[in-house]
Amino acid sequence: MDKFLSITVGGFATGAIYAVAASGLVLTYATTGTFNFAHGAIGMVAAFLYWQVHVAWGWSTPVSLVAVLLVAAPLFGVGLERLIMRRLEGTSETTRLVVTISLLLGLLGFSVAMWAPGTNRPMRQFFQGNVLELAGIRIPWHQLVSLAAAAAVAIGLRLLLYGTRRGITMRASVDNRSLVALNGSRPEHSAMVSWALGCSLAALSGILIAPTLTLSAVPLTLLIVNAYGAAIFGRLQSLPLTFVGAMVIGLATSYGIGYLSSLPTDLQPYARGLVDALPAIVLLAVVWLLPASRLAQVTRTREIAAKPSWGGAIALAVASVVGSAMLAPLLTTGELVSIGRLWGIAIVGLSMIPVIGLSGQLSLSQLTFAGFGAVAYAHLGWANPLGLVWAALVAGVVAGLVALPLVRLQGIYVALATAAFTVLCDRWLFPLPEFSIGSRPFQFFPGSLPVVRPHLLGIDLTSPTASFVYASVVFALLALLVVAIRRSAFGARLIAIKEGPAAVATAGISVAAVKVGVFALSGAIAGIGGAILSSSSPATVSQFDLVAGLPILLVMVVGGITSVGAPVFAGVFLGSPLPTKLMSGHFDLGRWQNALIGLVGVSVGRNPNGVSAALNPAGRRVKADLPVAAALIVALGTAWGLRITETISNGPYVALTIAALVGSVWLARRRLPEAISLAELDSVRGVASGATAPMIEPELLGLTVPYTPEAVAALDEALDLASAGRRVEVSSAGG
Amino acid sequence: MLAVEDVSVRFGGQLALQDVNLQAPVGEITGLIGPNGAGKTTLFNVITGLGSPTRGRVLLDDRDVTRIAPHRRARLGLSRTFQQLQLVGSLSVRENIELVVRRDRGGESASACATRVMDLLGVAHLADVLAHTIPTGQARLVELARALASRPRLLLLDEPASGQDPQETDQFKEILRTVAADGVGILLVEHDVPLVMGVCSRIHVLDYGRIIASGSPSEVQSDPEVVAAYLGTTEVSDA
Amino acid sequence: MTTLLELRGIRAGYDGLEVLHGIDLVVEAGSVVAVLGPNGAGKTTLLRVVSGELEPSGGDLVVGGRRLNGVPAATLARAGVCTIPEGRGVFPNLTVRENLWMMTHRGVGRSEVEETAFAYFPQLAARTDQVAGTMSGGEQQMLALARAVVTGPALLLLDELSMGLAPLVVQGLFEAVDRLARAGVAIVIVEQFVDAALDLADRAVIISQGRVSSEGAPAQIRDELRAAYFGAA
Repeated sequence: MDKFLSITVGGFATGAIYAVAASGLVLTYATTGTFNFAHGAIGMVAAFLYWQVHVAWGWSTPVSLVAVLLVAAPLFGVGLERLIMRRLEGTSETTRLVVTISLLLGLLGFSVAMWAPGTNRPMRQFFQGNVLELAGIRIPWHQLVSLAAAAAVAIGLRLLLYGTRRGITMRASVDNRSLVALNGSRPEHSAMVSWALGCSLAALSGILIAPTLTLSAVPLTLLIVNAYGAAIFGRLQSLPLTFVGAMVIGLATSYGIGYLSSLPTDLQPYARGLVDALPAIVLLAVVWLLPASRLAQVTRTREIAAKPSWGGAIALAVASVVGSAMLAPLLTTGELVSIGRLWGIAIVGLSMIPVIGLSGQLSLSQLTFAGFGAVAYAHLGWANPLGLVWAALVAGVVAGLVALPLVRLQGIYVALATAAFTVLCDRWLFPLPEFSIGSRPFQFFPGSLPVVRPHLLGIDLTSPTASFVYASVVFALLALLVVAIRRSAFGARLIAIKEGPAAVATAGISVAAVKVGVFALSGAIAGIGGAILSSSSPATVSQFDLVAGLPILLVMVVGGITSVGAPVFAGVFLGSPLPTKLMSGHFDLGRWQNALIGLVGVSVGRNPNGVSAALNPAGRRVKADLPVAAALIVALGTAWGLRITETISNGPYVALTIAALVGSVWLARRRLPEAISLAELDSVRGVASGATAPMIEPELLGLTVPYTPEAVAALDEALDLASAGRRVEVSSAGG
Repeated sequence: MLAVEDVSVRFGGQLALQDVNLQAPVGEITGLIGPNGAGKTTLFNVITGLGSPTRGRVLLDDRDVTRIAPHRRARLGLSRTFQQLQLVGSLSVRENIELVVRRDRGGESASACATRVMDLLGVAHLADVLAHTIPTGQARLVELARALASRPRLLLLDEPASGQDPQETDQFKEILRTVAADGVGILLVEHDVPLVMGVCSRIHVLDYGRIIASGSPSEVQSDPEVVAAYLGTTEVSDA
Repeated sequence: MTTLLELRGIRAGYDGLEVLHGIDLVVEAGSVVAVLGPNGAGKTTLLRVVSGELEPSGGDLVVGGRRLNGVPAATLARAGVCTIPEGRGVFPNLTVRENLWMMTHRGVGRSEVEETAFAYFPQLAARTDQVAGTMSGGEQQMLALARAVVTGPALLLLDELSMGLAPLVVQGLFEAVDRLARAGVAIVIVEQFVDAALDLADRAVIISQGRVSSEGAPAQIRDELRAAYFGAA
């Protein structure tokens, strides 16, 4: 009985901390419409900061609390709103989510770089050692502090939101932002306040939870998944329901941990992961019980999914294979092992294009599907391409099943449910000890998966060089498949369910069928990616977890989530040590890698169509200029020749290659007689070059289309006048 | 034939539609007019399945479709356009149209069907242009082309002429007549009253969620209650 | 009489589609101007320009002698340009009282705001803690008007106040608008209940296809309207 009571009190105390975190999340989401995936990461950094000033620098508790909760966190929130969030207007929900995911990774990277992991950083509980004895149970004061903090937050938020004009304006902004402005209040001020407050609440929850765990970046960041569950419980609107949800999750985990030891000893290993995954399970359950979202009508965003040409796709495929074949002989076996993951990662990136890029379903489970593919491939152990087909089949079926309950939902809920599924797999399913299916023993990950080197029609491809090239061929074929999908009728449907589900449904297309289809297809591609990963190096559970998957998504978005070029970026950046090696000795890029990706990621709000869209015109210029294109090929070949004959080493080779690429773009640009020819190129092909503004026919401007500064800016961009410094200034006052 | 029987829709405490009855026969153009907020778009949503009625039935060729999902109704031959354009911006005009072509109806290929409807509506020159770049008047025609490409038995048009200039509107009248003559039933919601009067064989007038008048254009035009609904005279007598 | 609002050659539109092609309009302080015309003519766009929600692409927006192109809506609202936009002009999830409290920014306190509002609309006094979204459409518009009243605006912009409301309710609302007009608030009214609007107005303009097609005394405009709506039949 005493045990039950103290576990219950402990559960309430944990729930109180989740409630503080979740209420911050709900507050920012409800008032600004941006779901902050980085909420937990902000709490994590705040906890580290608190350790720094309180433990390392010895500031007193009150001063440290004020410095972190009332100064640093709100300032960070204000900065966040002003510098990043405010610029995201007119972008899709996916882009906004990705920006906060970037922030999460950036903060994670930042904290790892600032506070090197591995060091023990003790965090004392508040009033450690003090215990309240009540009705025979002992309650640590820290738990009382947590409960008091949650109560204070509840009362404070109630007073703010219902008692002050600022708070009422914040609630009014949820209903109707433009009406708020018409009533003389600035909705952006409300947004600033809610970001500041949200960050403070994140910080408070981080500082409260840190002493009960170890002060470690990733677990603290992921603790937020527990708060997501609570927030969804309140449907991202209701703070009271959010508190209820937080308590449910707090109690569930507390009972789970408390009574785990009462289970038969042989069952405990199977249930332990389940306890860790409880919040994710609650989240999934709540999401599944949500009523169907209304079918959205077309919303105008700045995002345009350009249609890839066969020429470009084939060029990419050939370049991937030829590049790999050229590169592989240059590398030692050790180097090949370290870049072995390149194509596997690239294929997982590729799998994101149909589901996220085209159909707008923000699946955070792609790497998990790859995990299923890797498991299927390794357990079957077939070295020939049929093994890849088996991996695709298994992962595709899993992904299709995951999609079934999600077809009624949109946007953020798809992201949260897939994140929860991934966490469920990370924490419970994949690490499960051996169990038996029928009479056959089975274990997802027996430590690490056995490496199955590929074999093709009797040709042995087991050498690292051959399997690297083999992987590039698989990537190239899948890239062509993705382009074929985009250009097919199914691809058009994918884009249509992203941009106008209501129109699609009334045109006789089943939105649900298309969604399940695209999940299954993308899952299958990811499964092949997993198989390729597991054909080059021993795969482990942690390679497929949520945090490992986020950078791939991010590099994809930065590179252009609809572009088949982006996965190559992802592979090179995340699957090879290139970024670390390039700068070795000067600057530890590897250590800052995640922080950098995050930093670049938060900038996607500026150019939601990604780097590929921005680079596309450059590539087309070079292609259109035959002499320059020929010179580029010669230059690349010469550099390779010098390297293969050992005339130069790796460093100069990379430098020469980059110089050739950059130089060719520069030359092609200089040689174009008039900037306008590029615009002609566009109009002839009838494509928008990843334009972010509506394309305006030059001849219509000023006649049927008004001469606005935006229109002129768009035109300038199309004609490439902006870079030449010849931007025409048109005053908005002009008649 | 499309029939709406005793449909009522309640939002919160308000009755958006009240016992609405109307028919739209195949091969004819039926008009639905009424002031802003009268419930026309709500009625369209009920008919196409994007909204559900509190009471009443929607029948398509005597089959009760009230509880059927929107895409299934579309497959039964119900097609619509939207007041706010619903073209898929990242796709070309041709792709937008091919999107809805169903191969199980007639042997025509998707591209042949798209070409045919684009020619019919005079938007063939826009085939390869991305939909988000074309001006509103033309975009309305493209949306109509897309609706036609699904070979509807009944076509619901929600303010198809708004954003068109007078010349485009004249062409549009002809197009509507051609389509109807092909055996398609059209239910037309439109604010441009002269256009409605010009093309419709029968007109229903919706006001405060009720049908206040039904009849031929001349009957409706001379109905005092209709004039009152449009000009807002609170007493009907002096109109 | 002094000129409160002047539009000179206003051009405006959305997404590259121009809706207003050069509108001229003068509103004297304390006068009521009815803006009429068929749907899609640009009436709502015109009000959005005046309220500061939509920056004109050409022409001048002059309020109280100052050119205010590009001034944000919130600033204009604080300067006394009050707008009840199309649809329901209330925050549906806030209570009646909270809806009114939104307007405490022009140096007026909460009790003062409530007093003024309830003096105008005694019906609202009984419903202070009701959530606005659960009230009838007429009561919601009444609340929207009340919110406009408490700030003591110089200029009130009404966009289809009557939308979806029964005639009797509309009559009640227009009586309140009439009281406001007599209290010296200048009003620009966009309305489909043409007769009701013309009864209130000192002057009326008809807009069709983004241009002012005629302008004059209400009686004169009344005759021209039938042609504008039903075509020259």
